[in-house]
Order: sequence, then C-alpha cells, then structure tokens
Amino acid sequence: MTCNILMVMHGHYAEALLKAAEMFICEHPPVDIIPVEPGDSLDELENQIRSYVTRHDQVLIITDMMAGTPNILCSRLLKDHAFALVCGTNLSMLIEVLNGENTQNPWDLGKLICEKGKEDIVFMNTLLKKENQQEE
Amino acid sequence: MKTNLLIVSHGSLASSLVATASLIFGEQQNVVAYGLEPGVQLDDFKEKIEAYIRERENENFLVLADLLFGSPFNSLIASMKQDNVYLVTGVNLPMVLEAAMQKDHLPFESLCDLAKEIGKTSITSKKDILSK
Repeated sequence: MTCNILMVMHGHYAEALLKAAEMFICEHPPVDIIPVEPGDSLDELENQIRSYVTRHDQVLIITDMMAGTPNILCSRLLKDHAFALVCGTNLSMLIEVLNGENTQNPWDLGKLICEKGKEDIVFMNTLLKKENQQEE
Repeated sequence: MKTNLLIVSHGSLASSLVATASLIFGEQQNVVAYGLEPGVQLDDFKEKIEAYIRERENENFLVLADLLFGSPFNSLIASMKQDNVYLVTGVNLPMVLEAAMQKDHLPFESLCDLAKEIGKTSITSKKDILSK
C-alpha cells in the first residue's frame, strides 16, 4: 500500500520544496502539486482538489500554512472525503515523506511527519549555550 | 537596533518562501533569501552571507535555515559566534511570515523564540486540531 501525496501550496513554494528535497532523494514515488496563484478561481481549485481525492485512495495532502487559502480549500473537503491533511510543511517533513516511509496509511504518515517537522525546528543558539554550559 | 531576516536553503526554496510571504503580506524590508544551487561552491555561498552580515554593523540577524546540519546551515556556523546572529532551523511559511511581521516590533531574543514556537505550533494535522 502506498500513499498518494498531493502538495497544495502558494505560488512556487511546493515546486521549490520538492526540488530541494530531490537534492537528497533521487528516486521517490510520484508527488502531485496543485499550486495556488493569486487570481486563481477558488471554485476551480476546489474542483481540482476534489477530483484528486475522489480519484485516489490513501491520500495525504500537505499544505504550507493553516490560515492560507490552500489549506482552507482542503479543509472544506474533509467533510465529505477521507484523506489526511497536514499544514506547515517544511523540508525535513517532505524528505521524510519521500524517504520510502510512505508505506503506511496516510494518517499515520501525517502524524509521523508532524513529529519529525517539529523535532527539526531548533533554536541553535540556545542549544549551543546549553552544551557549552554542560562542558564547563 | 535594526533586525534583518535571512532565509537560507537548498535551491530556490528560500526565494520561493520570501516570494510567497510577499504574496500574502506585501514586500518586506530587510528580508533576504540565499539559496544554495547545485554546482555552487559552498565557500562562495558562505562568503556571500558573511559579506551581507559584515556590511551591516550593529544590526541583528535572524537566520532561518531549511535543514538542521544541511550545507546552508553549516555555512552559518562560523557567523553564529557573533552575538547578533541567531539561527532557527526547519523554516516553514508561517515562521517566515511571523518573523517578517514582528521583526521591527519585538526585542531580538523574543523574536527568535517566537520564530521557533510559531514554526512548531504551525505544524499540525487535522486530527490534532479536532482533538483539542
């Protein structure tokens, strides 16, 4: 069983994120992108996303931010469709998704990448300060 | 003291983050992106960032990097010895938006803490929200 991954994000962000992840991972299962540009018709975008979740099983959608248009459009569809939705995507989360980990169901995968994403957000200066204190 | 926001990443990730943020909130002052493209020497990349910091004496720099221990991150380690250069990893869009909006209004250390917190709390799945 493989998850179908869909990135719904503003502008070129999804594309750039995927390209950056591909610097680490050469081969990965296909990832689909629906970019949201200013001026795009919201109805049309919603139809595109709806058509994707209708056509595919085991879908994980990742978006850029909770209060953004891409995430709001996807949230609306949760009422009638079963898919996993994660917002706030960063590079380590996408790498985790592509890293051959997506053999589990999309909800577990979503949870896993959320944990990974949070873990990798580090305020380095405090971390270094703590380490220095320990050494002293 | 003026605060600069630097986004550093692999490829065009940093510039697309800044572009997306300005799509939402309009152009921001002192927010710059540095992307490490394949084929570029790491030393050249590092020098460009260090030059930016060097040219602005008595200013603060919050650096948001894409990946812990990635090459863009590594090229910042030397600069972090300075008191005015702080670094948070795992950059995402909410982090950039919040930091860009608050950078001229918060004390520098609070801004850095906020960037980290916003980054973490903004990563969530639908299940987390519903169970709250």
